[in-house]
Amino acid sequence: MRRRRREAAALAALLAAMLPAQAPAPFTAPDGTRFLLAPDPSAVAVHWAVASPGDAAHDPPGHEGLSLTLVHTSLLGTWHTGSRDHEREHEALMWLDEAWQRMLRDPRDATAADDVKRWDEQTRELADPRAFLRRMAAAPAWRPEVQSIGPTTVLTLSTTRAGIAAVAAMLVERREDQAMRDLPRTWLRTLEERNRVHAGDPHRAMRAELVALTLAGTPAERAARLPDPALPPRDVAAATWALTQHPSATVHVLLGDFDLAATRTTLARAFAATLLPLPPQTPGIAPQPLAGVRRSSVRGVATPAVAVGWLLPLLANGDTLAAACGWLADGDDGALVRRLRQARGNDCRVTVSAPWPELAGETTLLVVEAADPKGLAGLADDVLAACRDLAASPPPAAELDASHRARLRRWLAGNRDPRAQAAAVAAQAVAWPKQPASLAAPDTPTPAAVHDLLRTVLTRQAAIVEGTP
Amino acid sequence: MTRRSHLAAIGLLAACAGAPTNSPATGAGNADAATAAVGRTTTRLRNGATLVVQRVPGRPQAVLQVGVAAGAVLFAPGAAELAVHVVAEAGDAANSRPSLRRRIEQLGGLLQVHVGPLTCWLDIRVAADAWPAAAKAVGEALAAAPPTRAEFERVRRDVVAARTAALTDDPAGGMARLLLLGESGGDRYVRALADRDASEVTTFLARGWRPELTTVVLAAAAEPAAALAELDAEAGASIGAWRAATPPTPMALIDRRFDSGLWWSPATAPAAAAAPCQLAVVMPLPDPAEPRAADEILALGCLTLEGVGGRLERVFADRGLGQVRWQATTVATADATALVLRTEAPGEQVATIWRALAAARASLQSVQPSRSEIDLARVRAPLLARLQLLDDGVRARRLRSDDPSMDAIDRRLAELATAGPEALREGVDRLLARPFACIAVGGAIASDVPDVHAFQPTPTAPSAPPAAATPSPSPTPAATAAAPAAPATASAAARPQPWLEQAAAAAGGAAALRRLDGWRSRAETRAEAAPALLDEQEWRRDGALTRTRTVLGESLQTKLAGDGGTERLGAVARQLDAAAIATARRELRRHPLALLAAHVRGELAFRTVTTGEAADRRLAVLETNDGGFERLRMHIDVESGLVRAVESWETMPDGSVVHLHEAWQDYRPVGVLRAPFHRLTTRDDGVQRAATAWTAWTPVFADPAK
Repeated sequence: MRRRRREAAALAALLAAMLPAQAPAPFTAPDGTRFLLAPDPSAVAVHWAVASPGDAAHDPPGHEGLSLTLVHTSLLGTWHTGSRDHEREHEALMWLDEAWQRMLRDPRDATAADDVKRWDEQTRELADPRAFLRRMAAAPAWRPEVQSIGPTTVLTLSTTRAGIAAVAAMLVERREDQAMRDLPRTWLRTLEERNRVHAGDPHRAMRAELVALTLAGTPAERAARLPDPALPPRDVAAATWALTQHPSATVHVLLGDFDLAATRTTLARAFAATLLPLPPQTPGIAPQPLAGVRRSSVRGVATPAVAVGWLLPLLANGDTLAAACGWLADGDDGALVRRLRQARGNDCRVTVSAPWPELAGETTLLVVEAADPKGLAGLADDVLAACRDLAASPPPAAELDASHRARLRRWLAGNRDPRAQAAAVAAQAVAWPKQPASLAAPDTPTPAAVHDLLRTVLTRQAAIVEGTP
Repeated sequence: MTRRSHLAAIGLLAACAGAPTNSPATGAGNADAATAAVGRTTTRLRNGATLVVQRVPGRPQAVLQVGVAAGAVLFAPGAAELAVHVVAEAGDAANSRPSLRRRIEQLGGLLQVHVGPLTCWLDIRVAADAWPAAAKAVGEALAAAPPTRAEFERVRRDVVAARTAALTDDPAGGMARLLLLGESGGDRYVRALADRDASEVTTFLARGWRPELTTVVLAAAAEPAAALAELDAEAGASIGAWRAATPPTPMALIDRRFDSGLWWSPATAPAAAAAPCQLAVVMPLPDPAEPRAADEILALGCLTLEGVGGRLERVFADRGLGQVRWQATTVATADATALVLRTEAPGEQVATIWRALAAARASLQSVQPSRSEIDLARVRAPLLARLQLLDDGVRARRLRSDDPSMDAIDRRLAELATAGPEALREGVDRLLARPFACIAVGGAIASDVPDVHAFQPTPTAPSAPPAAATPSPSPTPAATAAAPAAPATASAAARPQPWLEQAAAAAGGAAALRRLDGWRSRAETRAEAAPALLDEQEWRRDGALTRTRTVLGESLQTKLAGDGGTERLGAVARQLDAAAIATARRELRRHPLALLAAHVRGELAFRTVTTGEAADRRLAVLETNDGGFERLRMHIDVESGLVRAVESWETMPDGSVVHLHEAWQDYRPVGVLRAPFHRLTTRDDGVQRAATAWTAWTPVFADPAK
């Protein structure tokens, strides 16, 4: 046991070891943009990640996925960079938007289709959507890319020490002067991807039902359901852009070969002010705790399964939650997996997801899904009983160390690329704003901390959804 | 339009900067402190391995790189890659030795394997205080006995599965990496891995993984003296204590070239033919240490910034290809990195895109880059130069050579910024001399593009060895042959014999074998206590043979045609008698492909003698007395289907019986066939032994395939 603890400690040290020698230095620019600066003298480039909220809590209702879409379209240029006649282009984009709305409302409307084609051609003539990427490449910036990480959207790129000023200027221009080109097509691609994810998840309907039972009317419910194909109007998109890209909403991480003091000066000069409106402070909906067990069922699930969900308290730190879930179930291993397979046989498949859905700063769920080809009889009860038992006492340190070691190895593999590391840190800073940002590996939680969390959560009332073929 | 450039040019830096190849090992405790460049110390371990230590105070992470100057261009296709995986993945359950990978993971670290044309590396990352344990694990892995056959086959199976999966998931990207390795298709690459025998990989390990060819690089918060003491410790299994088991033996070079041009893998399913093609443009980057690397990088920046801008975008717009959007990335081997631009395009547009790419490149010579093009490219060039060095492991591996720092590149770029556009001419010439390829996956190969390299991303038949076939008829359990059986009839040859079918399939298929009419070949034979003999042949199955054997500058030429034959040595010629002619022809007819071809044509029938284990391999032994052979046995590996040995017995004129055992190895794809490139001949149970290694073997077919 001691050896395992030493190994886990060594592993955590290793993970701390994967970082540059200096810890990230927080810095807030005059316009309110938050930076985490991590110079690394051994690096040869600067890796830059910009994270912004990309979850249903920040998307307008009915247009979940819009914030991600907008970060994609942001690389197609601004009014200043890419437009050949920004007044005419602006007008053409408005008409194009209107034509698309008509076409999507009634696909048989031939006039709408013709109008889309006509305005599309005009917008193409009035803009060069590659001008911004060309300018970025010349800044220089390598591989600007957009990805979703949890509830955030992250733009990453790499540059040189000499390129920081030019890249900073372009990022500010992108934020302040966004043209939102090719919005309909990019939106449809986002929808297609979300539909693909929904279709590929056999338990998605069960989890959506779980959220409907527990978090009705909240952003979590919107995040869980199938996307609405309606095209968001440009004014709604503009408002979403302002909300998610306001300096107070984003975090930039710079990691690599740069001088800290000089870079602070450069960033302060570039990120001086914003014309984006301050996001409104809308109070979140605090879900009511469940007074009793809520049950429902869905059909069309290939293997009989149950999804059991518990409301999660608002947490400041995601590490203990992740450690707890890893201890309960990690692939074919885990305390809960072993219990349920003991009770129901080795064909029983168990997964634990938390927080689900992933939302920044919102109440979500801890979800246990168990599938048993032999049938549903007693499955929900077995899950509840096993969870209750496991929450009754602290997890054995050896088991916790083993699951943490696996988790740390995954973290190490995912963070050995400094660019990926920058993106992960930026995403975490947005998703868990109260957790101190760090380039270090997640800490080894104590059995007591995991026990406290699981005892708090798993002893609450649960919602149960049964899935049948 | 296509241009061939030897891979050594691409990996030139690695060759120049790599570990010393034949330096004698120094004595124990006699480490020389050689050059001490800024921030690093280079010494030698007592076994001759080079050690580079970079002290990085305060850095909580250690990077340990262990590499050998024995890469994919040596010995046999796939051998280098399997060898480094054996070092990393093979364990010894009998002695409770876990694999090196497992040991590193138990320390909380990561292990990656990198293969290049010239070098192979173990890339290890651990916590700062864990590097001694990691180094010890490496020392034990290097000193370990060769793995058992079963363990080797497990490693090979895992490597084949992983490579096949990677090529299936991303055939264009996978092919980009293979081009950097000098491969010509995923199909051949995976088959080569599957073909490699345990003994071949053991040979590669013995010849390639040797201390004098090894470089160890440690970047850690450790003093160089302390690191040396740990890595060269006398007690325990340190890397310095590792000794090669056999004397050094050179390995043959395989001809590996990055063939420039358009590489195309067409869609196989009719429905897929209409889907867009995946395209990947592969542009190897110059190594920063190469002379005039800055010039070439600047020229590359003039060609394209990152798939946008530059001459490329302009030419594409002019040719109506403005809608093509490129996504830039890199792909790397242990010795080289390439910039890769990726896109999708309709199949009918691929040829146009290829021509536009070539035209854009060529235009840099015909129309000098302008001042504004150079200015734009110059800002980007420092980033391009650094693309290969973004990874900690790559930077650590480069410590082994006296690389100029990036400052030299930046200085040269600054010089070029103030010089006129003419100063970039050399850079443009270098860029255009470097190999360059466009990979297309999908669609149908355009007929109007000359010299397209067709390739297959993955094997079309399972590369994993087929399950052992049930013998039919039932095998005779006797291990020794009885009196020679009556010659089998043609109808007997037609009886299903699964091992022969399997062997024919493994060799390239019955259809191709049926058309095999002979071959042209060139080989070198070495016998114990005899000089090397060069053997050039042109053989036809009707018995026509032209053979020149050269030893010590003297050539003996043999010509057989019809019933006659002559031998000539210089001005002296003699007629060969019927026995000599028959003996000469039998040697050629014993070739595995000749035997299989004769079988599929119905000219040779076999009967099953036995199946059994030999040297941890399961073999099916088939015998024939047909085709002019008194008694001939063919040993077929039941897993791979390859013919591993041919035995023959012949009665000499004086009545003595000569027994020949020919062990066939190193199967390689040659067109549609797979031919062995190595034969070990043992005569009379070891009285005489000779090893023959082919450098060229070209089949001749009776009629060209339609």
